[in-house]
Formats: sequence, C-alpha cells, structure tokens
Amino acid sequence: MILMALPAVAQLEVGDDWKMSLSGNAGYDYLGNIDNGVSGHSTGFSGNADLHGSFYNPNFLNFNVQPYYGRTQSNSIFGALTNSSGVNGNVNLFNGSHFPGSVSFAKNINSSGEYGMPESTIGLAQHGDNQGLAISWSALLPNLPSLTATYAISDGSSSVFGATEKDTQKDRTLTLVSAYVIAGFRLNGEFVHHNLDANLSQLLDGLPEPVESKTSGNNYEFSAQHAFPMSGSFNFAWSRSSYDYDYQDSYITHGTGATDQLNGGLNFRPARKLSLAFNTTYTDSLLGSIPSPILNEGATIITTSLGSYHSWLSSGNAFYQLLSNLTLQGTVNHQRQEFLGKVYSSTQYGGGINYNLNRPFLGSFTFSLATFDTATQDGNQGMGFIGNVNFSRRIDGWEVNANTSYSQNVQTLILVYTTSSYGWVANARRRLGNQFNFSAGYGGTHSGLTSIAGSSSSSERVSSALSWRSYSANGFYSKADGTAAFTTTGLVNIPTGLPPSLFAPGSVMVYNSHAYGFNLGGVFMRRLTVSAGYANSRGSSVDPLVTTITTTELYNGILQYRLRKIYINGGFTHLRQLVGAAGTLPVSVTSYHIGVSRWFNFF
Amino acid sequence: MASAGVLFLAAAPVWAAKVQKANPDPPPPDLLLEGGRKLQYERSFSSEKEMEKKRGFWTKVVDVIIGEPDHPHMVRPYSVAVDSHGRAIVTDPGANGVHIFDIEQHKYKFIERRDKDRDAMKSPQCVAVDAEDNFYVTDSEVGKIFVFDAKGKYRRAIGSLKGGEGYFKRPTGIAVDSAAQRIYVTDTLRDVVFVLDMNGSVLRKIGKRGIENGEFNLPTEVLLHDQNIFVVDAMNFRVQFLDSFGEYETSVGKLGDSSGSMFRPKGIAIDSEGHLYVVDGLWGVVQVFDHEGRLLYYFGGRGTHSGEFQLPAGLFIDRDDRVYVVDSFNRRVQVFHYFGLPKQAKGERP
Repeated sequence: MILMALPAVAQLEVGDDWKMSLSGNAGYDYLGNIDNGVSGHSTGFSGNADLHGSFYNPNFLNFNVQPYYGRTQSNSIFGALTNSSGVNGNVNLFNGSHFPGSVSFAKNINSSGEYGMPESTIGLAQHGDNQGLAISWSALLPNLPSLTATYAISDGSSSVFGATEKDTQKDRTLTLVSAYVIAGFRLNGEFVHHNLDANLSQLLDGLPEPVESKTSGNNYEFSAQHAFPMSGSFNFAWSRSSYDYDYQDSYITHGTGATDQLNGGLNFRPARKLSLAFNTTYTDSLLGSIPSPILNEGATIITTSLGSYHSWLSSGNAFYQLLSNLTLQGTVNHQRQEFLGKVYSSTQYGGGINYNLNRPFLGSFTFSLATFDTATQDGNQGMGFIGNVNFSRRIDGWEVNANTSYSQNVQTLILVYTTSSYGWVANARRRLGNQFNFSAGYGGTHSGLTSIAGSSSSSERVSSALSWRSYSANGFYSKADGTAAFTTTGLVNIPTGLPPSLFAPGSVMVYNSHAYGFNLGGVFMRRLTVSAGYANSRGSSVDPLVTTITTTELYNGILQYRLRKIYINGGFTHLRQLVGAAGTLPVSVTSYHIGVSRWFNFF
Repeated sequence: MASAGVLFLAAAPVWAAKVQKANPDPPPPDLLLEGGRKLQYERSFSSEKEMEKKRGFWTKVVDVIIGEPDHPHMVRPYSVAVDSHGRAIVTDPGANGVHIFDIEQHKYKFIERRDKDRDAMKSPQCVAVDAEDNFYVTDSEVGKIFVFDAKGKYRRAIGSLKGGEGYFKRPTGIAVDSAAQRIYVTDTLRDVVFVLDMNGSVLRKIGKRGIENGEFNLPTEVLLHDQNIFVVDAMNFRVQFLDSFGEYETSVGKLGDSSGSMFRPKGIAIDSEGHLYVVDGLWGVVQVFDHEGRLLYYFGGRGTHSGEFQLPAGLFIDRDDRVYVVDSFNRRVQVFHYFGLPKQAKGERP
C-alpha cells in the first residue's frame, strides 16, 4: 500500500522574518571491521539533518543545510565500507531580481567512492575527503548586457584500497558569461580560467614516483548571430583555448599550447522546398585542442609535437524537399591542412536520398545509409560508408529492440587518418505474468583508426533482470579494452581518432578489464528491505614497461526494517582488492554495522 | 543581522514582497436560502488520522518513542457513496484502492487489489452501495466492476468474458437498484448505459452516441431516483433525465460559463426535496437545480479553503441530507448539511 503521507508543514518562525524547517534522523550504531585480519569494534551516535528556510521572503533569501555524521555509505556501491561525516549546503539570494546570487558549499570526510575504469561496471574502491565552495552572482539589468560570474574552489584527497599512495587535487575555476541583444544581433561571450594542481599516485603503472602536475587553462569564446532574409540566419564565432602545465615524475616537463578557431555560417531558404547552408572554419593549432577534454577530467597528458598545424574547412550543403517524405541532399567540402610539414587538401563530394517510410520496413526495420567519396591531390581516398539499422518488434510476447551501426573510412580530425567502427545493442523484454517481468540486453562497440594497429578499443556488456512484485534479481557481465589516461577520478578514454604517436610514451596506457556480478533484493512484509550482491572485476594495465593487475571482489548486503519512524539498519561489506604487479598481496576489508535510528520532524 | 536586513528591506522590490502569515482556515458562513432553508459546512476528511479516537496516555508515550503511525491519505479521490451505517466509501484511482471512513465508529479501512494475480483492481472510478451495504466499484482501466461485501471483503468481478472482449470499454458511473435487482453502468467510450442483472449479465443498453435527446457523448455518471435514471452526458454538457425504461424525459444544462450552464459536469445527487446537485469540475462549484431545470443556487468556488474546491468530482447526498463532495485536487471530501423545509416544520434542528 503506497499511500502518500502528507509532509509535515510545521515551520519554526523566529521573529517576523525567519522561517525554518528541520527534520532528520538520529541513531546509535554498532560498527565492526576486520582489516587484513585485525578486528576493531566501536559504537557511537549517527545522524543527519535537513534544515531549510528563508528570510523575509523565499525569493529574498533561502537556504538549505544538510549535515550528516557517522553515516555508513549504504547509498554507495561499496556499502558500509567507510563511515563518513560532512555537510552540504547552499544559499540563494535575491531570486527574481536584477542581481541574483548563490553560495554553495560541501565538505565530506572519509566518504567511499569509486576510481573509475573505462567501460567497466565496477571500478576500484577508494575513500577520501573533499570540500568545495562556489559563489555565483549575476547582473541582469534590462537593456544592458547580462553578466554572470562564478568562482568555484575545491580540493580533495583519495586513496584506492590496496594502494599506499594518495591522489590529491586542488581545483579553481572562474567563469564569466555575458549575453546581449542589440540591433538584432544576439551576442554571447564567455571566459573560463581553470587551475588544477594534482598529485597522481600512478597506482596502475607500477612506477614508484607519483606524478605532480600543475595545469592552468584559459578559454575565451565570442559568438554573434543575426537573422537573414529568406528565413535564414548567419553567425560568427571565435574561440581561443590555451593551456600551460608542469608535469613531474622522473623528469620535469613543461608544456604550453593554444588554439584559435574562427567559424562563420550562413543558412537560408531561397525557395519553399530548397534550403542552403554554408560554413567555414579555420583552426590554427591541433595540439592546443587535444589536451583540453582530458584536462577537464583532472589529468595532464603530455603530447608530442608533430609540427605546425593549420586547417581550413569550407562546406556547402543543399537540401531539396522533392516529396513530403523524400529529400535530396548534396554536399561539397573542401579542406586544406598543413600537418607533418606537408600540405594536404581534399575535396569531398557527397550525395544522399533520405526517404522516410511511413511504416517500418517489413514492419520492424528503420534504417539510414550514406556514402561519400573523397579525393586529395594524391588521388582518390576511397569510398566511405555510414549505415544505421534499427529493429523494433513485438514477437510472441517479447518486446525486442535492436540497433546496429557501422562506419568505414570516416575522416577524423586529421585529414590523413580515417576511422572505422561498429556497434550494436539489443534488448528484449517480456511480461511472464502479473507483475512478473524479465529483460535482457547485449551491446558492444568496436572502433579504431583504420590503418594503425593497436589503436582500437572495444567493449561488450550483457545484462539480465528478473522482477516479481517487489522482488528482483539482476546480473551482468562486461569487458573492455583500449587506451586511457590517468585522472584523479579514474582512467578516462583517449579521444578517438588521434594518432598514438601524438602522445608521449608513458602518458597513455593500454588497459583491459572484465567484470561480472549479480544482485538480489526485495521488500518483505512491506517494511523489511533486504538486498545482497556480489561483484567481481579483474583487469590489467600495461605501461610500456610494467604490467599492473587489479582485482576487486565485493560482497555486499543491506537490511532495513521500518517501524513507524524507527529504522533498524544493518549492513555488511567484504572487499578484497589487489592493485600491483603479479604477486602483490590483496588488501582485505570487512565491515559490518547494525543500528537503530529515528526520524524526527523537529519543526 | 537585523540592521542589515532592514537595509535590504528598505529598498525591497516587488519580487521580494513579504510573505504574509496564513490565518487559520475558518469554516465558510452558512448559506441562507429561500424559505428558511440553509446549507451548512460541516467538516472535511482526508486521511485515517481524522478517524482516530482520542489517544490515551500510553499510546502517546509510544508515539513519542517510535513516532506516530503512518496515516494513509487520499491521493486522487474521485467518487463517494455512503452506506446505511454512515460509512463513507471513497474511490481513489491515485492510490489504486478504496477508502472506507467510518466517522461514527472512528474506524478506517483501505481496500486494494492491485497485487492480485487475478482480477486486479487498478483504477477504481465510481462506487455505489446496495441495500445490503455491498458496494460496487467500477474500474475504468481494467473494464470491470468489483463487488465487495459490507465488511470490505472481495466477492466477485463483473464485466469480463472469458476468452473475449469484456462488456465494458471504460465503465465509469454506477448505480444499483436493489429492489429491481439491477445494476446501471455508464460505459464512457461506448456512449451507452448498460443495464445488468446482479450476476452481471447484460439485460439491455440505453442510448447511443449522438447529441440528440436520449443520445450520449461520453456519459460519465448515472443516478437512480424515484424510478428515474439521471445520466451525466459529459461532452453534451448536460444531465439527461430518463424514465425507468430509458426513454428521454428532459435535461438540465448547456455549454457555457454562466450560472446554470455546465463546462465539466461530474458527480450528481438529489436531496430530500428532489433538487438536483451537479458538480462542475472546472469552475469548482456545485449547482443546484429544481426538477424543471431552473438554477436555484450554487456553492463552492475554486480554492483550497474550507468550502472551496479544486477539481471536485464525486457527489453523494445521504438520507439526512448531508452533501459529500469529493474535492479531488485538494485530496479531501467535504461534507455540508442541507436543512430543508420539512425538518423545520417538524421543529427539528434548523
């Protein structure tokens, strides 16, 4: 019986202007743990609270503060592994006025988390502390350019179970955003300054020296847009990104780079059924554009200079609506690149027919196909192909959906490299009875540069779930391999379509991983919630010199029984994790807790 | 801090106008009508908590220690009927069940069947009570009528043919004639009123789709009174009066936004003086007509205070002329008491 209980509306009023509400849980817990055979026990208070309110008027000032103490991480995938405390809060001021602002802050101590592994369902267990503060203020005066300034600072440290070193990170970001409309021009400007100081333990490359990096980046953007006759518009955009880093492990490396990009576009509709679009883009540096996405993840990656790079791309597209469901398309692209000391140019002609079937083909399929041909001064580069097929059908009670895509010889950021990829996903679902459902899915991707061995990455995942009333069971298996770079939050995939020779040896590693697990859960007697799970993840990462093995084995169980406002909570977590070369002993952590808490609506 | 606040407030613009304290919600004044009649607001109820007896000392001690129990609350009530013991039976499609409020005995019960493998009840819509206090609930989603006895125990479901299409596409309004052993059900999507025997066999159909007299455009409610059948013909914006054979007699209402017209007619009921009460869901009022279709008065209005409604739906008048209005979006049932002429003449309480 899920009947909505009305929330309590009691509110404390302090004087005529302050209004506050406070609710929360207070409890007492028994905690036990066994770390590598050494046991420990403790009891103590725990609790959390939610204080929110306003002064004078919620628009004038409203706030929300949520402290917590002694909380087992029952909401993280690593269960009751750590016992954390902290506070989160935010204050909003002058909402709806010309000068709205906000302040938010957070501090979390000994919280458990996950060191991410690319495409892997379960990463490495870690724990650490972090804190942050962000201030944002806007000036939204009528008939004047708007301005929003945000300054955010944060720092944190984390340690992967089984690794001795800590990762630390300090992050500072200033963002200025402005918008203005004048004489029909929509103008936008943005400036971002980002500082990141990170200390990476390099736990996965087996090297003893931690990496210390200090990076900073500036990003400027300006764009303008204006309407054009014949239902059209034209736009102009300029951006400049620059970065500067110091990278220190066994050696000290200093790097700087910048990218300028200019873009202009025009589109209009000279006839009712004909629309035209033209676009041109100039980029002056490739090296300046590559590290940015990785920098934003909290990592530094050393790139190797491949010489100067200039790129100029012009394109024209025409669309003609021949019939209501039949569109003809023509494309001409001309690209000129200076790269590796040589000038490359290409002209690409493409054409296509788009036909939208009112009904799916054979009752189940929808698809799109396109081909293109590229020619350079060195000759024809060959035909490219992109295809996509969707399947959706109900077959004898099964709802089946599938998609597969394939691309071959698709040009990358660099003109001389093409990439090929394919991917697929299939899901099936069936209702086996009243409130009895089954679903299963299988998917995967594979991509890489066409002509360079070892540049590929792939992933596969299969999962299944069974549910009956309030009980459920699910399981999964996944595997992945590819190239990745270090960040403080885990490994991140290297952007696809870039040649491996661009990156310095040691800054990129090859990884592979596979994981499997299952989870059982249910609500019994409407008040007793029980779930238990098992997950196993194994992987290896290959630095040019050392192979590091990771193994994570996790048993997890939680229990909660509710009696009115009283909650009886229990949890069990057993983690066995190994990080290091072959022969390294794993760390073993067992944690369990049981406690009672009561929910209060104080005022 | 206070001085800083004063500094800000000195230039406080409109966007930060001070929130005024809400006053306790007083009951609306009695509605005084012609000839000394009046309509008096009596109460409202919305959850199990209002049915509880006064809690004793030890009960309060337990409440302090482990908290008060959860009180089931209406989610999206739609229809109401009152049985011979004064128990209000309220359908609630939002909660997938039926609430039974026994105000006199301070008891509450919630009935649901959504988890049943067979004959699951998913969207209970309207309710009617027979002479033995069995109650009949239409389910607009599964197309059935569920029958429960006076204790709330499930007895049977009406409306499904094994291996074939059910009788009903969307059963909504329902009325039971215990003397004649007949059940009347409006099937909104079929635009007809089904007449069934007590076993659920279809005896005949009344009406067809259309705008003429005796025809319906999405009928949603049906009411039996003095050998007459009253049908809410929702999208023809009227209430049709039919005789016991289903033949058209007259109708009340027309499309409009003025008094006496109807925009979203919902529940209907008739008081002891034969006045027809019609809920208008959009305007949030209950309009009262005489048998000739003349508007006598109306009460309510859109709002959240006592005596006001937001998306009112079901309506029921018991034998003591208590008017139960399901105030759906406010998640409550409001009860009014109509004091007509005969009671005054007998010297009873005005």
